[in-house]
Amino acid sequence: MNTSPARFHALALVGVWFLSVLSWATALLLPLDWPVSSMPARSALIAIGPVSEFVVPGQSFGTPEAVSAIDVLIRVGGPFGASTPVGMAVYEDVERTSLVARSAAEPVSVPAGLAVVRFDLDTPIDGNRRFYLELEIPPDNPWPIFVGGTRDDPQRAGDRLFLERRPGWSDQDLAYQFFRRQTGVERFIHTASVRPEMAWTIVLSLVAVLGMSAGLSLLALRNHGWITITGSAVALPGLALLALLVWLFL
Amino acid sequence: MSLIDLILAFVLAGVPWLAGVRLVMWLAPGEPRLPILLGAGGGVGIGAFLLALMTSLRFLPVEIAVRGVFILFVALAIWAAVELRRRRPLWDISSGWSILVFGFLGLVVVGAAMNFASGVWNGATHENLAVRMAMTAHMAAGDWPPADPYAPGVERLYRYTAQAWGASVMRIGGVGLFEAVLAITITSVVAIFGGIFATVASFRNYLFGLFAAAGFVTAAHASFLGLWRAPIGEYSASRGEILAGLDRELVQGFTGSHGFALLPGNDFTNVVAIAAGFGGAFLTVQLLRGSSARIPLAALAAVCLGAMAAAAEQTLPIALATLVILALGCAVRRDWRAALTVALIAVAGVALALVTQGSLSAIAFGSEVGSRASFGFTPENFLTLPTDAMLYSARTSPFFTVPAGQVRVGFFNPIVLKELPWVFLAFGLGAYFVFRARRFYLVPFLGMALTAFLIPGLFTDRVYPINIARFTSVGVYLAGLAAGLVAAELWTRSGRFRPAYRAVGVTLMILVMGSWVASVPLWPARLYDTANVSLAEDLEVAAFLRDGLYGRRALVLPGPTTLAGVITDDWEGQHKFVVAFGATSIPFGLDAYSGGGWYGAHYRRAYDTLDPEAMQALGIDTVVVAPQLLSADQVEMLTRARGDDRLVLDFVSSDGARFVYTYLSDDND
Repeated sequence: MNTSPARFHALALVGVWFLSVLSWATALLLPLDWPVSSMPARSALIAIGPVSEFVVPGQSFGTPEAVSAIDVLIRVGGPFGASTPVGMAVYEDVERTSLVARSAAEPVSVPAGLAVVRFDLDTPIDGNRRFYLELEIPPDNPWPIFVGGTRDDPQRAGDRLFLERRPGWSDQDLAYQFFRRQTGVERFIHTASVRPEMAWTIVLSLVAVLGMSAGLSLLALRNHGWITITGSAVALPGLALLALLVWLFL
Repeated sequence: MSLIDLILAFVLAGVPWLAGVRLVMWLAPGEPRLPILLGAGGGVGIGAFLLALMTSLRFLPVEIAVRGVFILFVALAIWAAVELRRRRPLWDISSGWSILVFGFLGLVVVGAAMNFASGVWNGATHENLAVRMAMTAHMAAGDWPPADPYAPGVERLYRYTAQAWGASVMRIGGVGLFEAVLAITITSVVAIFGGIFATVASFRNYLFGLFAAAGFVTAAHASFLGLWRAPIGEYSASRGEILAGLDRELVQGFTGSHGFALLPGNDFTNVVAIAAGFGGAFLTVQLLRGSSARIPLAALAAVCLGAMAAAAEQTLPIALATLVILALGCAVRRDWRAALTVALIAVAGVALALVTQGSLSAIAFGSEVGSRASFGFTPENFLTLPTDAMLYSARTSPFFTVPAGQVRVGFFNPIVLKELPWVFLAFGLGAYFVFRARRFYLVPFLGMALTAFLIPGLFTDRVYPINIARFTSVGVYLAGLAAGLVAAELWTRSGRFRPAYRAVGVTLMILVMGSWVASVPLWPARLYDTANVSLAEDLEVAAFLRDGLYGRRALVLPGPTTLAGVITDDWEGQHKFVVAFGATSIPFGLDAYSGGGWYGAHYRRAYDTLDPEAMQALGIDTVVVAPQLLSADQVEMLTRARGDDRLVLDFVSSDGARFVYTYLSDDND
């Protein structure tokens, strides 16, 4: 079957604009879990425990911005592959007067020991506020459970580890990392409000990359129309951005 | 910082460029191409401006020298604009290529500006802010020759030509330190790109010029090859964290290889020097191509060479080696006149560099203060490279390290092959093109990169051994330039193996540019985290200090007492803002290039005990304090001094994170 040049041009035009819209829409509108705090380096970790339904591990903490998920390090001490359900409850304060959010996960015993366990909160918690979280180990759990902690972490200054609902060592904290579920657009707007210089760097880099892409498209598609060339110029950075986000977040 | 100040700084930094275009139009009257005129004008203009400024400063009062040189170059710039309008030179690059190149150059500029800004506002990276920008601020406020900000009674035996340019922009425009140094740095980055492009394009073609310039500005260690195996999981469950910039070490670890891209944030003086150097390279090429204006071309090439050497002395041996190669090449072709002219450029360039004050004249003529740089011949290290802070990506990289205690590795050590595989590929293919395809023009370019790599194996810096590693850094950029030329040769080869040649050329450029390209998405993250948590108040203190008469000498509590402390982010970095943005001396004698020993010993006593004798000997009249960072002993020491009426509170920052006291010594109480 022969494809006429006109038909080929039309196909190319539809193809590049489809890729362009798809890549940018996905990159900008797909909700992703953006890290909003850091996990301590492996070398700074300590194992705290065993913890249980009685030796309840808790942590007071402040949120840098709204949080929708929290990563905690948990070691399940059974045979590899053994698992147990663990709950997380976030309260207004250490007196546990008001429950703010809940979550549950099922950590698995792995050779590495402490494994990262993601707790997606049923309700996002506010930013710039203090909270208290507890991990809930079920009473029928058959395995020894340890949680990851860290010591003398300046990022956690003012926070505090609790065991059996009593304050633990003042220099120790649970190792945790906060995440906020946002689309690329929402994240950019937030970044622009708190770190305008980052937003400027993003915008100017994108403009420069779009310029390079436009130049390449002009050279490669010089026999096609302006609409095709523009579509290609927009699609190339969009696809690159999408590939980057897929590698970093998925 | 205001937008008006920023625009004014860039306009003033652009004056030498446009003046350079006039000089190029004069020396290459037959050149009808606008891309060549604009590309070469930057380096030539910067070289001529720097040497004119430094020579005037040596013999004239500082205000007259700065104003006189600016008047001269503004006149040349206006003349250039008039001539460009009259001659209407040709822009003979297609729209597609033009947009592509300007987009790429735009990205290079964004990267350079981001790296520079991050080194100032987000944390210490090398000595850019604390030493070089500090010197710029003091030169803008003080007299000539400039005093050492860390040893105010003596001249610092250090290169300060690039700083003089920044200071002149501050004096003429009344703009701030950040705006002035950002403007001259970015202008120089673009001038380097344009200078390489014009130099190569003038004897090959635009494609070769573009590849060479792109190779130079993006060359870096091939860290990206290890990205897939980088232990990001050791630090975060989320690879997204490196994009969010929450962990500066993660970001620096990847973006921190010693490529050209980091240079604006690490040492802006090198950027300025290299720009002037490529101005000289362009003029030398015009001379060898048989221009009729031989003497003016050679003279201006020597001026650019001298300015380059005065701005960054480590570039001089590399440039001299290249000129020797060129002279030998001319001699082999029995073109004795050209060989002699090239040799004269080298001699005149060195002589002109010695006219300026700073490290080179101190090495040549000696000095009564400080230790001048001193080099030892150590051939036993031949074919080795220093590892310290150079062969792996940044000092704090969690990704790439060399075995502890291993200060040198051989050229063919696996870690060199892993970090710089493209350098070997470029040299191998370059040699192939020289011997098999008679592309003799490649010899000087390969020669300058090879010289830079060989020097650390032949010489040692006796004062600061780590400084010899600067040659390795320059070698990486120059090898990037050579790799670009080799890739362009591969791309333009014809014959049945053309696809294979092109594939090798593309692979080579991917290896050269890979880490730079991969680091682009991480650039915003470099600006996220800041070590200077009381930045606004640090700037309030700096403004207060700057508003007084120049010449204050401050004790900073708590703060650094050694060079190692100066380039850290400790003490919330308050010392950097006092010495740089506040143009106030901290007299602890930074290093051996000034009266380091004497100042260091006295400052330590003053720091530990506010010892009146030490305070008086150092001339300290100001004490800057971060009260929330003080130790109990320091609080007690300050309380006692206030009780003795030695300290008088002068200034409190808006949130009380910084206090400024006047210290009353026996002299001034």
